[in-house]
Amino acid sequence: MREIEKDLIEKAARGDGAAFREIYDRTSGYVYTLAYRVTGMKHDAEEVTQDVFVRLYRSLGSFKFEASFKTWLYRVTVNSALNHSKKWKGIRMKERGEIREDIEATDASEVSKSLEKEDAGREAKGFLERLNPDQRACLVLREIEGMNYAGIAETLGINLNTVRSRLKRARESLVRMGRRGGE
Amino acid sequence: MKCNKVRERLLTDYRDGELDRRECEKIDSHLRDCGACKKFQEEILKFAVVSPEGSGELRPGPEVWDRIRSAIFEEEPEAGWLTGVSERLRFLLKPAPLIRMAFAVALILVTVVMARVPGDMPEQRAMSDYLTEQAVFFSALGSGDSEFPDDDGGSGDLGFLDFV
Ligand SMILES: [Zn+2]
Repeated sequence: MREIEKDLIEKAARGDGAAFREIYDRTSGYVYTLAYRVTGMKHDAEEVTQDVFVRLYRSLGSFKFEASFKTWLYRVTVNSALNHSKKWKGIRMKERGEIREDIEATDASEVSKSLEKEDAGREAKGFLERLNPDQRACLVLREIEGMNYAGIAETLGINLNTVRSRLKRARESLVRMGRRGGE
Repeated sequence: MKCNKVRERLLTDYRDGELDRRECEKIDSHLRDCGACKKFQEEILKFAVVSPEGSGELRPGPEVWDRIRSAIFEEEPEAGWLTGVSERLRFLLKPAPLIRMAFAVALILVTVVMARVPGDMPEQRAMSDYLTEQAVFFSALGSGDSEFPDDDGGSGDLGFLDFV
């Protein structure tokens, strides 16, 4: 993504709808793709994109040019995507817990079969999806966006050692999963 | 350097180019002598890779922009309530020119009836003026995308003249 010019942002901040639309056209593919890589779901990526641009619109007037626009967009996108996956993960876990409780009295084998199927589906989708979202975000920023540790730390608002330990755990899990898959 | 330290670096700083040259050389020399760590490094290169799924940029569907636009317009009536109102009315009325026209005609009829009622109460006249204004406003919407009749320096085409 190319950096967005200061005067285009200023124009949009003054209420110029065409300027805002131009910013959207030039950056939404980037935001959407990054959100998709962090959440692993197209529907979530759409919601994150929507959230990011509504927030951008509200903060245009107070936008400080000390940080680059690109960095701001990275940070808001990744954090919104993380909140999103955590929120949904929580709900999905809760639903699964409730299903498990429900079936104690009914036909347990049927439902556990369907839960197994769901897990297998997830495995087919790739090991990356099975990492926790925080680790996945670090890995995406490092390997796909090519950021260094300092950049990742700044984007996620965490310190260098946290970046390091998340990458370490992420890659350890991938190696473990790979070994199991190769057996 | 101990194996566990080496492996930690292999998973992080060494892999990501965050080590200086001296540190890198220490690791390289360990790898030459330690088969287990060398094997671990190979596993990392084999399994801990993120395939950038086509690596191309994806694009959100057009409905995402529509949702953003409506979220933005809904939240800012203070940008001038009239702009907000006209924006919303235009949205409502745009797909149905007939309804738009019928509304304008109805307003004009009410205005005419009001004007014919005997008596000349000030409230009545104010009401009638208000309705006339509304009729002009709605028929201006009917004439296309223009804002208000007096916005663009009087194009003269107020639309409602066409069907009165
Ligand atoms: Zn070793």
